[in-house]
Amino acid sequence: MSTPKINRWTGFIKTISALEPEVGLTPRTAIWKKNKATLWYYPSENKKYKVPLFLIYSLINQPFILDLGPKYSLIEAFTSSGYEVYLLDFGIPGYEDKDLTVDDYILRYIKKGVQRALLHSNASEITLMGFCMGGTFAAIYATIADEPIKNLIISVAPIDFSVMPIFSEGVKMLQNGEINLNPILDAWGIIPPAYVKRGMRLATVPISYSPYLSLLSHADDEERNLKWSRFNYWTNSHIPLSAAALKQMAVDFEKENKLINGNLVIGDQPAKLENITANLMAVGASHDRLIPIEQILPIVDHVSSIDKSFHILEGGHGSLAKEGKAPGYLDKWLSDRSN
Amino acid sequence: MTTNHTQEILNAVKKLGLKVELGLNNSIHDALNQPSILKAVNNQSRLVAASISKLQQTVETLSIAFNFPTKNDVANTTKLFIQAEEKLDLLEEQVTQLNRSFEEFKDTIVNSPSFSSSNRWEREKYEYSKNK
Repeated sequence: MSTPKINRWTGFIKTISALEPEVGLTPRTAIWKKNKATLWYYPSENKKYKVPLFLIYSLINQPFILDLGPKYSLIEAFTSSGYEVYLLDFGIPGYEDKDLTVDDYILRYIKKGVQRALLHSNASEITLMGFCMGGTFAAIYATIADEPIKNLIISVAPIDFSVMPIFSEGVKMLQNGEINLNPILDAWGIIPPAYVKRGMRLATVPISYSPYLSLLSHADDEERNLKWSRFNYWTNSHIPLSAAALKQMAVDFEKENKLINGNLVIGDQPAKLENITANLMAVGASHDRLIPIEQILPIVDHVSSIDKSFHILEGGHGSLAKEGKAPGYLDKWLSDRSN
Repeated sequence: MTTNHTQEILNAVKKLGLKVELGLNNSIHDALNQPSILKAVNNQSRLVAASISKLQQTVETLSIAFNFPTKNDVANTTKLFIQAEEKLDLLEEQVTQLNRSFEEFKDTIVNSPSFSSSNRWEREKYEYSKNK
C-alpha cells in the first residue's frame, strides 16, 4: 500500500530539520551488563528454532542499525521468523576504556556474552552473526571458542587485509614502518567520535551530498523520509574508539595480516581460521566501498567447515532487512541449520 | 504529467550527482594517497602528539599543587569499579554453576533406586518444590 503523498519541498525540509528519530523499537530486555556493554535479549512470540542468534556489531558505530525501525529491522525480522535473538552492544566507551584491546573485547565481552546467552536460553548450540568489524571479531572468537557454535555468519567483515582498496600507499608505509600513529593514539587515549567519523568518511566518501539528492527524489513519501531520517541518524552516530584496540588492529590486521597468515594470538591461544568448524556463511556487498568482497572471500578457503558458502548482496553496508523480513538467502540458510 | 516530469528530472539529477560525487571522491583519494602527503601528516601528528603529552604532564603536575582530580584519576577510579564488577560477575557465574550442579545432584538422588517408596513423602515434597 502506498503512503499518502505530501509536498516534496515540505517533506525535504521537514526531514532534514527533524529531531533525532526513534530507533531500536523491538521489545527487549537487558540480561547482562558489564562496564558499558549490555547483552540484550529479544524474545520471539512464536519461537520456532532451538538455536538462538547472537549478534555482534562493530566498535565504531552503534548497533541500532540492526533495529532501525518497524519493517526495516533485521532483529524484528528474526524474532518474527521464530528466532530468539541476543545482541551484544559494546556501549559507548569512555576515557577509562582507552586500554581495551581486541583481546579484551573477545575474551571479556564476546566470550562471556555468549556464555550468558547460552545459559539464559538453555540452548545447547548458538549461531554467531557479526557485522563489519564485529564479523571479524566473531570469526576470531570462533577460532578459540570452547562454547558450542553451530553457525557462523559474517556480514561485510574484513578478513584478508592484504587487499586495501583505499590509501594503498598509506598501508604500504605503515607496513614498512614509515608511518607510526602510536604517539598520537597514545596521546589521545580514546579517539573522539568526531575523529572516528571524519576518518571513516575520508576512507569512503570525503564528499557526501548524494543522500540529500536521494531524499529529494522521494521527499513526497513520508514513510521513505522516516527511513531516510533513521538511516541518516545512524550514519552520524559514531562512538569513541579505544586507542589500544585501534593500535592492535593496525599491527595485527593491516600491517601483519595475522588472521589470514595464521599467527594471530588471542589471550594465549592461537586464533587460526582453520580451527573454525561451524557452518559458515560469509556475506559481501557489491557496492561496499569500505570492505570489498576480496577482503571477505578468503575466509571460505581458510576454515575447516564442511558446510560453507559465500553470498554477494546487491547494495552497500546498510541493506539488511526489507518489509520486515530477513533477506531470502539468509532466511533459508539459517532455518535449515537452526534446529 | 508535471509530477512525472519533475520525478524524471530529479532522478536524472540524482544519477548525475552520484557520478560527480564518485569522481570527486576518487580524486581526493588519489591526491591524498601520495607518500609525500602521508609523510607530512605523519610528521605533523608526531608534533601534535608531543604537544598534547606535554600539556597533559603539565596538568598532572598542576593537579598536585592545586589539589584537583584529572581525567586520569577519574579513569583509574572507574577501572577499580570495573574490576569489582568483573569479580562479582565471576561470583555470579560460580553461584549459577553451583545451583545447576545442586539441581542435577538432587535429580540423581531422587531418581536413584535407594530413594524408595519409604521416602514417598520426601519425593512428593521434592516434586512439589520443583513444580512451584
